[in-house]
Amino acid sequence: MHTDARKLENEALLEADICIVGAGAAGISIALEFINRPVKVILLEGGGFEYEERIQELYNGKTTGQPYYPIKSSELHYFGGTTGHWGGYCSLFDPIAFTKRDWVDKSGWPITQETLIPYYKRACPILDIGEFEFDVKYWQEKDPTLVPIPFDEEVAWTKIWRFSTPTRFGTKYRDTIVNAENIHLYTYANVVDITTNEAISDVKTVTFKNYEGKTGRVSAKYFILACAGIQNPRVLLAANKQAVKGLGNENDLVGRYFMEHAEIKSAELWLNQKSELKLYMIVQPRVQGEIAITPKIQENNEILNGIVSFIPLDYAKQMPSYIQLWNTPDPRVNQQHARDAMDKTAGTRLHRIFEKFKPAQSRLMHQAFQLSMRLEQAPNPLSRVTLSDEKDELGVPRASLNWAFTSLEKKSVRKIYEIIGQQAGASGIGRVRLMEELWDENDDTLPVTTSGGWHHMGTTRMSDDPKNGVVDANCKVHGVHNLFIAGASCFPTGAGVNPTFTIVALAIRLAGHIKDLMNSSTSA
Amino acid sequence: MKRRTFVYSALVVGAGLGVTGIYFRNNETRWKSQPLGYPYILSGICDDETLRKIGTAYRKLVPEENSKEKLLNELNAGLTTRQLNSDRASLVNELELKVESDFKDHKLVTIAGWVLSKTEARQCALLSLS
Repeated sequence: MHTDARKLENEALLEADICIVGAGAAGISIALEFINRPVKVILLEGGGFEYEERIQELYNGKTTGQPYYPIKSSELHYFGGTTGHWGGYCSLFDPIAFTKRDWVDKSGWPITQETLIPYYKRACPILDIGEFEFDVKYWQEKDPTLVPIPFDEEVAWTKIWRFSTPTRFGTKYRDTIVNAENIHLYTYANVVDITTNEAISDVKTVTFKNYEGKTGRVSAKYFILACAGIQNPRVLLAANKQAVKGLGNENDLVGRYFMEHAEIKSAELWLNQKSELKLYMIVQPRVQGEIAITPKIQENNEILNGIVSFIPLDYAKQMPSYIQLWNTPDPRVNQQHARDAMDKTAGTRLHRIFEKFKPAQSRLMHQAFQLSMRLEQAPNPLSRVTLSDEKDELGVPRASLNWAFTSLEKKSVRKIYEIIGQQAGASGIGRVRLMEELWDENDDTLPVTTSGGWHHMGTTRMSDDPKNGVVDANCKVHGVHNLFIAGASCFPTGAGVNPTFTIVALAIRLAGHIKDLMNSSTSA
Repeated sequence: MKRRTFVYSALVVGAGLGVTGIYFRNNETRWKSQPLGYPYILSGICDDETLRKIGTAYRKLVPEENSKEKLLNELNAGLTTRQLNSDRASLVNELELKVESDFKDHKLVTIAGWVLSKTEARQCALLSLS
């Protein structure tokens, strides 16, 4: 069912068993889990079904530190959320991502990869990525021309990506959600406050507002905040009438440990003989390999997890980094910038016609490839989301983001390329050249061309210890019995992998946990 | 008109092949005459100017090897007299194996961003002194 909250009576009080705040990948995945179950779910979405400039403006904010995309353009504020500009990359967080690593402060999840595997499998059809197969050998058997680079498997291995079409949740799941009798979707319902009991141990209601001046409240047994990595901490910090430091922020952790993936075009691979490196290009059925470093070598070198992709150097040199392209507050303009740059890289129409007539040998085979790294960020308390003094039009303080790195990121980038360089030489395939920004070992700063992946993680991090995390292993806010968080803000570390697949897997797991809680309370 | 185009094309292709031939012949002559001072595998990736720049940078990075004698001593080390006196193609082969084994044994040096084997870096250094 769908209701436009602008048409509600002012100060309406709505009641449900579960209230989900935010209809992006996480919120919609959870709602789907409850369809046709004997529970009433209210799904609150701040925007409508399409992009609207005035709604997106509510996400405006400031950035400091390492140059970042304008906040307003980095998360989308309408039904379907940021899947509206998702690239479709899906891969597993490797076991090491969940492990406590002595050389990475604050690393370690209270769950393992094994815990998430059944949920990853269930996320595959939701994200339209086909079978749950991430083993390079499986793909090589299907297509023997997909040959891995012959690196020592004890040192570096080929990590497999699957690609969603990409699934736009706003398009694919709109009818399913709207037609579900027990799912009550309210659009134009921006949550502006959370009210708890006196002990601040239970959420009683969330308050929503819209530009039409309508205010409403939702009362529920369970509340799930699913507003993405910048807005989740913003909503918690802004709920400070009762909890002065913000809800769930007793230990000053909400908003801290903001992590992105540092995406850096930072080296070149020069082959002794031209090659297509077919496995490392995107091939049908939408599979691609990238090079990862084994856990043992990460441990020996005390480095972060970074995954390396390959782009023919001729093309890559013409393509600016995303941080240079995605530079306006309007995500639509930025997407156009990116499309234009890709078109320019592909050459003029005439050039593309000529390309088609070239023999495959010269069209597909290359001697030089740009190496681009997607590096996990070390958890850093100074990298954080806070509230700014400025408020949005609905009266909520805007988010302010300070993106900051430690010295471990630069060290890791340099070391990973040295390892790949050593492997390239030892396997006789060629040589690696690091870009000039990496030459000075005493320089900890990342290049200004370092991009992010629009992956906002860590700001309500997961830990069994309330002094180290905002939520527990079940994504429940410590100290608040009925408030849960969904999304990448719960990730204690970010792996070297895009987060959407893991967001959906974790959301399905959270839905299962709430089902268990409801079943146990019914049977009691 | 068509004939003229064909003639021009043939000239361009011919000239291209000629230049390529001269390049490879020169390359071959160089490594054949001075295998110790010419990194064969790396020369397939970098032009001579880059190889010399790498060599100069290596001599700056490792000043104790900044002489022909010292570099030759280091390059000869590990090679038997028989290998050194073998025909030049065999010596090039031995040096290639030495480069590969440097990579396997982590005897590496990063110069101007290139992750190189110590042996080929020394070969570049020797080239830069020629």
